[in-house]
Amino acid sequence: MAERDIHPIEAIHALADGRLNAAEREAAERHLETCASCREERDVAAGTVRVVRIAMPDPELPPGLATRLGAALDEIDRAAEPRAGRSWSWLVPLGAALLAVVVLVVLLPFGGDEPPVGERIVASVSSDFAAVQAGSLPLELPEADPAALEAFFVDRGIDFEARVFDLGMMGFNIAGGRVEVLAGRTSALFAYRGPDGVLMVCRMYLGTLEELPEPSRTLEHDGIAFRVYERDGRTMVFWEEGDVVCVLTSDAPAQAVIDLSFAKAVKV
Amino acid sequence: MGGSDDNDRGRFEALAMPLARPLYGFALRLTRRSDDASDLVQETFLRAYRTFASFRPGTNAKAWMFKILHSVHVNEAKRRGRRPATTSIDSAYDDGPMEIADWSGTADILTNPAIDWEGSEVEREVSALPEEFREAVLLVDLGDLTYEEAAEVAGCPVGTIRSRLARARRRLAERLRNVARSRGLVKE
Repeated sequence: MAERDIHPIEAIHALADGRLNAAEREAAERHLETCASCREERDVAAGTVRVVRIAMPDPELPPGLATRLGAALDEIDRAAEPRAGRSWSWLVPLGAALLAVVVLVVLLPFGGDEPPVGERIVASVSSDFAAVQAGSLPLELPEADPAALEAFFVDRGIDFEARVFDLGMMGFNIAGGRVEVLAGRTSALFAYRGPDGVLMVCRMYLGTLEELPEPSRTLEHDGIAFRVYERDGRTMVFWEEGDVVCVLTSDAPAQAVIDLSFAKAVKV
Repeated sequence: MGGSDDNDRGRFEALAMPLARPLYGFALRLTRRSDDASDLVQETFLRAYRTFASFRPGTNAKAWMFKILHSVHVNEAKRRGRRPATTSIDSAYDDGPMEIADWSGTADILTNPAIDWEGSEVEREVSALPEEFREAVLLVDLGDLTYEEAAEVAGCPVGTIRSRLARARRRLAERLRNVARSRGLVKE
């Protein structure tokens, strides 16, 4: 029997933290009754935590940081309310002529025909899947592992965490990735090949679920909201991880795409 | 989503502002630079505010914001080429079974209220831990997150956090014991 089995060191530390369940606690306490070394280990664990907590209080905020935080939030608020009354007031001094120009620009037909951004995202995710499948959207780094692909995205300027899932256990291997614009946003695109050559494409970009159109289905799993779109024989499952939106797309059976999404989504 | 709703802003500030100090402490101990830590906290606030709608009331806001901060930090480190692209589930530091150690007198040192530990020396010893170990200590022992929350922040299984924590504390206890002895706080 290995040494760690004889002396359950990790469990002793968890016991010192009060973070064992009843069965584990009972087993650890039973061990402690006869093991002086582990009793000492428990006391050392508790003592170490004590010293760290006493000697390392949260530092004071640097002068000005609290103000900076408030100002940064103000900036977001200002950006979020372009149609508030006070935002229009700056136009007044520019006169009626400039306002007329603005009105004309707003009324120009070229802006009115464009679908909402959410609709464009869903449509592009679907059509890009078809392009990857057809080979017209070539992938780089074929047969890379997740770490190599994540490094590739960083090198290519993806400035958010593009977490490349390891789906090897589910029979899906990485087929490659690329950086691709999605409705005007930079996105990480990576593809997997699964059993019988099934293609699964993952996309990540900065955004929210709220901006997407009405889905075919809305699901929830482990406290995470999923939006499912079924179009042109493809299933797209969207979810949020912090400020990153992830979407898995495939022409595999819808439930398979949903199950993979449930398996890989992480609550942030 | 953060935005123009005054109620959202108020609710966000009520939730987030009391966390500014712990967030800054976590950031400072990750980056080791005050300027970088301030930037990291600011970016964390911005992202948290933008995604405030995704925060579930009743869950631990501290864990949520620590997760965002950690994610921003890892991405920034990756961008600068300072850290591997992924956090390994089983790092080199986690290898091998832990053997029973001779802790004679160590618990007495660590629990002795008469010993006045200097913050700078404890900070230095924590800072000297391998990054993944240091994170575990910062998240659980200082941040007071549960093992599950710490695992979510660090992006690893709960068992890995538990292992890292035990190994980190053992290294730290040994170092602190040496500090106490070198300062003549305990007799050999």
